[in-house]
Amino acid sequence: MRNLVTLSRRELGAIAFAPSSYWILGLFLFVVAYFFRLSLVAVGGDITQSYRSFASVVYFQLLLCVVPPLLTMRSIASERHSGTFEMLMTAPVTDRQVVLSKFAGAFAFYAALWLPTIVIPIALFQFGAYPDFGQVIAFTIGLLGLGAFFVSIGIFTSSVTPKIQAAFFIAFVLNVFFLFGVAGLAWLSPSEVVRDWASALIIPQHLDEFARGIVDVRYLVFYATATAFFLFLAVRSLESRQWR
Amino acid sequence: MIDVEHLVKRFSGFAAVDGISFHVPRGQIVGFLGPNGAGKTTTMRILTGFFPPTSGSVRIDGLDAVRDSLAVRRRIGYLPESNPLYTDMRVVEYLDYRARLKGVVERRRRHERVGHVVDRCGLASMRRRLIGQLSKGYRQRVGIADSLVHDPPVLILDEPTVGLDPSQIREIRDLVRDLGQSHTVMLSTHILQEVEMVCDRVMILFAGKIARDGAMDDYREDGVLQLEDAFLRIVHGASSAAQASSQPESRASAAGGGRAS
Repeated sequence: MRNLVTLSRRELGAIAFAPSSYWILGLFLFVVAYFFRLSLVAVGGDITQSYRSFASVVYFQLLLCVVPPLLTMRSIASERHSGTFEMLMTAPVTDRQVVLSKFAGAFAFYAALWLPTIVIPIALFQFGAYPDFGQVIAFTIGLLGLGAFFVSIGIFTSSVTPKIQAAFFIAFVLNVFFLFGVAGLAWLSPSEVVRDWASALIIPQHLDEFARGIVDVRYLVFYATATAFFLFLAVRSLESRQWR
Repeated sequence: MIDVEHLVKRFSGFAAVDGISFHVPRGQIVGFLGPNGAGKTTTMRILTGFFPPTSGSVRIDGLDAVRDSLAVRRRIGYLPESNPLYTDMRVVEYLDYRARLKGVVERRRRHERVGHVVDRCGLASMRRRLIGQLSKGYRQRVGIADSLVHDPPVLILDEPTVGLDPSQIREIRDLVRDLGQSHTVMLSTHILQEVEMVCDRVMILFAGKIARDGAMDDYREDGVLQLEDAFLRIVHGASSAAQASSQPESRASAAGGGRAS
């Protein structure tokens, strides 16, 4: 546990120290604020509806596919690329601790990206509109759950290649598949079983429900399971140096 | 302190380390010599638990390097060949992080250890500097300070003076010699002079095997140290043997009238 805290602090520090993280923060806040405003106007100022409208904006969904890999692409790939991986893995730490700490650091920064957006409901409140805070909290829980899933994908892809761009690109493609491709499977697959499974895993539909203020635990269990699965794959990827 | 038995490491069928055995008693400084690709770094990586051997066993301070890998890593200070460091951290911050990771938990003790290695490695004036802004010589000192920070009984230094200028080489060499008084040290290098000046014992690796292993005095002929001759005899002896063995084959293929093409 002590190692996990030490490694996670280092990971969060590395992300917070990188100037690129602040470009990501800026881009993220701009896109969120801009499209939330557009959504609010599009539904005629109805705040309850504006969250649902915002959750369905494709640019916002694409942002969810882009930001986690930007935060995770360096995590393990750059350690391999620069050679610090050897220094890290010859310290008395386990592969599992390394993967979990990389995840924890990147996820903490992802969660921190959402903090400034708290001004949106507060500003609405100031202007006399009354957002449903239960709905805001449900939407935030959904975004954090999905974020954990996508961060774990990024940690996994960063563990399989020393090339940072490749780690980003593979994670982005996987995220796009899970966010958009699964819906395609749900509609187009010839197999009924695949259609049934896929239709339960359409993430934009999950987002819509979270944005309506419904926290469906099944979706959170899915994100948690998928997160654990990709982190497990990342651990196996690190362990692979022992089989070669 | 270090016991290695029939150590083998294969990568895709190629034996990088091919059945080596040796024993290093406490307090000895051992020089690991050999041309590139001889298996020095692979052996060191196995000793430090970076990857396990294909077969054979390694025991450090009585502990198995595979089964008790974490405990073994706590007993080893390792400076990898390229001395990789986090360039975005400050010297003291980095050493404190590494000390914590290596189990120096108590804050006061960690502070004391970091202060000690900073002084010992001549880093006092660079304490607050970003590692990325340091010269190669100072970075090498940070790497050595890192290997010492948890006060391990065994030090494994893979080419600690590579890429340094002559005065920096001398400083690092003096430091290693000094460390040898209180630690068991394995040191790999290409610089024969370094081995002569620092080590008690020399192992020459070639093609994954120990070609010669002996105390420094064993390499003296008529009172003169002949380390370079011993090294070149092993390397050239093997290459001329390989040439000799390939000649009958080439004659045979010439006699065959180039049918193979």
